[in-house]
Amino acid sequence: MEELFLCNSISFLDILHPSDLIISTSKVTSITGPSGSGKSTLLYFLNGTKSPSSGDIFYKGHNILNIDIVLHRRKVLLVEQKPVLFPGSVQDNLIIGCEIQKKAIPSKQQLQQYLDEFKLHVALDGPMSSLSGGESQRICIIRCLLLEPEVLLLDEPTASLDEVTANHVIEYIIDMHHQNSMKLIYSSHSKKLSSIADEHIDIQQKKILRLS
Amino acid sequence: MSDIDLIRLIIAYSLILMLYLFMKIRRIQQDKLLIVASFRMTIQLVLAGYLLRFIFQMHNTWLTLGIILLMVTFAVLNVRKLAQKRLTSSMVKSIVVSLSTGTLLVLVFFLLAVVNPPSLFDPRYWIPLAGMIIGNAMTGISIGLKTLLDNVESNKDQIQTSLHLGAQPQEAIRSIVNKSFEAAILPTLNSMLGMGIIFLPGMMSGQIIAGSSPITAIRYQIGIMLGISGSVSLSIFLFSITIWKSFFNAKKQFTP
Repeated sequence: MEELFLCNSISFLDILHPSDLIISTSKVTSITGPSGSGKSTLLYFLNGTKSPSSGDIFYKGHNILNIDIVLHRRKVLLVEQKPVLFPGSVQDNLIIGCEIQKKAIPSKQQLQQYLDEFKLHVALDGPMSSLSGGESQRICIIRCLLLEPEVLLLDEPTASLDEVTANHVIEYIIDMHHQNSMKLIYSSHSKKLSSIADEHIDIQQKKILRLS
Repeated sequence: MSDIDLIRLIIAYSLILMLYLFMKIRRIQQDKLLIVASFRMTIQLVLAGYLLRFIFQMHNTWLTLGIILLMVTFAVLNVRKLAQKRLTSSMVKSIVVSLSTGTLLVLVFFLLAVVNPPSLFDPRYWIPLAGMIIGNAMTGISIGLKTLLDNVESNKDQIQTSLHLGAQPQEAIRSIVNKSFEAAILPTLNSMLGMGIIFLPGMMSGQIIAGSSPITAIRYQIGIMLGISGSVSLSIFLFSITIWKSFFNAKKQFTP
């Protein structure tokens, strides 16, 4: 088993994980635990937008504090639990990541394809304000997929999506994972959704458990 | 110029008395503030008058410089007070750098290149012009800071998400900093629009009453308006290219 992330004796909130926590390259990983247990925080550590109070995070053997953190975030993209939208149209929101990273803007056809794939029946030039929470969440996921990250972190995709859609989205991304070897890590408190993953991390009573 | 004698000056206070009575009758709350404000205005101006007379008589370059630095210091303290929020030391640093550099550079340029006083370090020119330039830059930075803090607060999520999408910190906050730049410079631009039609600026009115030709007065006024816009924009520019650091740590994480 090849390691992708290594969390070396990290502590945060009241959680102390004295040993190494390994997330492997090839598998789909789920992080479970009750709300407020620190699932999201752990995801934020992985892309370096937050840091544990002690301990280090390694990505492919490099301490993420020693590499260009912005480049790291571009490889390890995080979709937040609550969809965050920017002013402008649906299309503006889809391509904002490409604009930020100065990547080629995808064609309308490509964008439309994604919308269809994610069962989104919205106009590209329509306003974001008319979208539901679940629709917005899918826009946020597509926004990250367009950037072709090495790792995709999904924070509680079930929070804004109904179970059927969440399952569909995860399965689609797992499919991408098989095709493009994009690593998927997601947090969820839904037992059903976490069963799709083949590697599990569980945070219970201030302890991180790794169950394979 | 005809001097206003003391009795006539006291008569002018009847206007404040009128306002006071109106507040009393209508039970408007700010009557105490009115008394304090008029009292402070009187004391402060009397002191300023005597202080200025003393400084002009001394005609000492170091004293003039000291007074100007004191004005900048008060301006910084005022910005801090007007922010009504606790500022981090990094924010204060940005305010100090932008306000002092922006005003002093423009002041020196304006006096040497534009006004060119007969005696180079004549406090009669330096002090009043410094007052106008520093005062306006202070208002600009104050508005800019307030707009910035409010907008960072209401756009926290977008800033965080921009970082998640791989933005550099200064990119993630750029549009918000630009908005605060606009808000800060707008009052200066608006006052330029209305100048001469809606109101005659205080300095120009003063010069005309003191006997200067209106043509001389407008030359000064145009000059000082350009000086003010210059110092406001330079201060605000320096402020916007330094302040973003206050919202991020060395790990490029958002720390609002």
